[in-house]
Amino acid sequence: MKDAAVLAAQIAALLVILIGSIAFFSWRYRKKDRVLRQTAKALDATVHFLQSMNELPLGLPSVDLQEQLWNRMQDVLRPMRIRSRLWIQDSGWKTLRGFGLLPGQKLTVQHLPITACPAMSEKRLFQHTRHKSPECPSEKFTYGKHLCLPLADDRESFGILFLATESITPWDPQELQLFNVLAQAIALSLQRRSMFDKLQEKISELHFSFEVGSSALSAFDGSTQSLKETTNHILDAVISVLKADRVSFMEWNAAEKVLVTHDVRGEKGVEHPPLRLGWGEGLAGWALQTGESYGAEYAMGDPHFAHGHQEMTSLLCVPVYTMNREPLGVICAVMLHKPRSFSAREIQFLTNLSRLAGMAIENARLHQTSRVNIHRLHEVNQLKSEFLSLVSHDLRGPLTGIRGFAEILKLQDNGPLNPAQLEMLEQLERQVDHQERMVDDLLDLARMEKGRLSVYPKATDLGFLLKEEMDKAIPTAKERDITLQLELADKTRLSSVCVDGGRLRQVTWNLIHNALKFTPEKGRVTVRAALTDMQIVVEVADTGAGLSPETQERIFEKFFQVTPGGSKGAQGLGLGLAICKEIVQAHGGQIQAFSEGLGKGTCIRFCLPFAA
Amino acid sequence: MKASLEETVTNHKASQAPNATDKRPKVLIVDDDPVVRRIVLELLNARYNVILASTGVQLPDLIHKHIPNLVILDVMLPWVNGFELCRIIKTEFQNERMPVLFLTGCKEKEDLLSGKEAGAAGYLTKPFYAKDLYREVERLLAA
Repeated sequence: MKDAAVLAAQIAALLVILIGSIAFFSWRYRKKDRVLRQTAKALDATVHFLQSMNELPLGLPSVDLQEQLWNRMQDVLRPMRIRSRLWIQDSGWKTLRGFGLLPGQKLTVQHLPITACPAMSEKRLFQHTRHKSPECPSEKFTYGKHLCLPLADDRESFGILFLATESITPWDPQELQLFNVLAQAIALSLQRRSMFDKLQEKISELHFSFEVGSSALSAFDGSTQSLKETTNHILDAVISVLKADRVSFMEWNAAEKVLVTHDVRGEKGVEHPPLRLGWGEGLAGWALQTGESYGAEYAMGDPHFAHGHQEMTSLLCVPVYTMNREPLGVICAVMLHKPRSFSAREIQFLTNLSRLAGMAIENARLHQTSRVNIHRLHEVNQLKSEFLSLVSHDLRGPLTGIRGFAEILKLQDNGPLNPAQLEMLEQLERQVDHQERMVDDLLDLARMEKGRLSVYPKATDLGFLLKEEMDKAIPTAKERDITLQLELADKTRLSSVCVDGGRLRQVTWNLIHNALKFTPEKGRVTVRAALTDMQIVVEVADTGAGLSPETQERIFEKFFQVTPGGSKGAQGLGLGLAICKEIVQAHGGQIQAFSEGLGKGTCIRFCLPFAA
Repeated sequence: MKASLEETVTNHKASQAPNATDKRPKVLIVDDDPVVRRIVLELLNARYNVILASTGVQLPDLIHKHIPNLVILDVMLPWVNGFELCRIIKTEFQNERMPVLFLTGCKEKEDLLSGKEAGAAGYLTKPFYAKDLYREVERLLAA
């Protein structure tokens, strides 16, 4: 019986133990299950958070973005009963700006010194548990424990993520992992934002440089027209780059020693009479005196401000000088409504532009004075042209008479002439020919100076042309007992080449007569013509005075003369060869003189591109 | 220089006032330079019936009166220039066979083109050779 009681007690104890352990294990299981559920929930919230971060628009002002980040993070942390705050570096104020709730307070923004948290300065995780771990250097509040995670990428720290709870049980490793993910996600978001800001900055810098470049390019616009036009362009450039409300140019009047408003662009504001400032007076006068830019965000409170009728908020003055550092004036950029300080690069820009402006204004002034001269020169040139064509026309008039009457005499209608008289008449006619050519040369010179000596090539029998020109020279050659010789290679092909026949006659005649002029009696003048695949080559060679190496180059210059050795032959105008060169070049060819030296004869050769 | 045109014609020793019986081709020359008129007259008088005028102001009347076979014009003429005169002849007397020959000191290529545009059949530049004048006159009268 006793045994039965013992057995029953044992069974009971076993049962109790069994039930107890079942209860215990089910309790443990439930707890685990709750933690797991909680973690799963948190993970879910985290995934949602990560997704929603990508949706944050980058263009948001950064404070708004940071607030939004904190708000969304709350969705993850609130169910875990964790308080959080974001401390984000504010480069402008050199502090950490906080987002989040302090116990018992609404959403506020506070500031902390940047060095406040080791997580920020050392880029490492910082943990604090009440009474246990190292003192937190900044937070003196009543949380059981708190945790600071750095928000950083490899290069820069953006701030810290602060997390706290009332409990003092150590953080679960899974929780820590989750927090790390959160911190990384936020850091990524901030990094994206910072890159976006940098990009924006670069873009605006590029835009600025572009504006600066184009304004520098346009600084000289109008400087060939007038001073007003020039300053207008420069002032407009300043307005477009600096976004100033009004820009004016004050001109320095050296005679009266005053700066006077010369030109105003942009918003006119209150009308007031042109400002007159003395040397060193006002911000503008001061800038001119010191030779450096001078500006003030609150101009009217500046000690240099000259109180007149004008009203403004901010002012930037940059002096303008000539190349010789003589004062020209001052460019003033004015803000009329919202005050602003001009950045270093804006001041740099205006200083650089003022240098260009100095040159442009000087240029405009020079142009103004030279324009009058140019106009006068133009008139003189016009007169010269008219004079030349009048002269050549009037010179030709009497020649018409001389040749005409000589021809009438040759008709012998008014009585027969004896051979000597006839010979004299022929001489007379040759003189007329010569005179006529000189008049033509004069006209050609006028055309050359206007760049209007043109050629009209068409199919021409070059062999025949050379023969005719040579025949014309026979009487002169006979007089001086000079042998004339014509050597034509490939006569058939020469009979149809594309040249300006009239002009080539002029060239050939000039060359033959030059040769005759410089060749002593019993000499020889040879004209040769040949065709290569590409070129027509014509040369006139003589056994005459020859050329020294120095003169070989110069004989094609206008008015250049070589005194014919010993001969007192008729001197020309010194234009013949210059005109020949012009004609040959107008055909696309070249002309050259060859001579082995003085007394050894001369050969002048010209080549024209061959066109059948 | 004689001012009136008829005067110039009648006063000239060689011109022998054109008469109705003269069957030779009529050549009218307009030039303000008496020397040129005289030379052309001397050169052409033997073969042609030459009529002289110093300006083109009354040219249409003169042409109506004589109906020349050839007109020789200077370009630089007082009041109305030669190109203008040529155009007038070509429009007012388009039914007549009346070629125009320019005899002028203007040697520019553009002048030559203006002459062609105005309807001239020939263009000679001063100072000219007698043989060129004969050749051109014969060519234009024969055409």
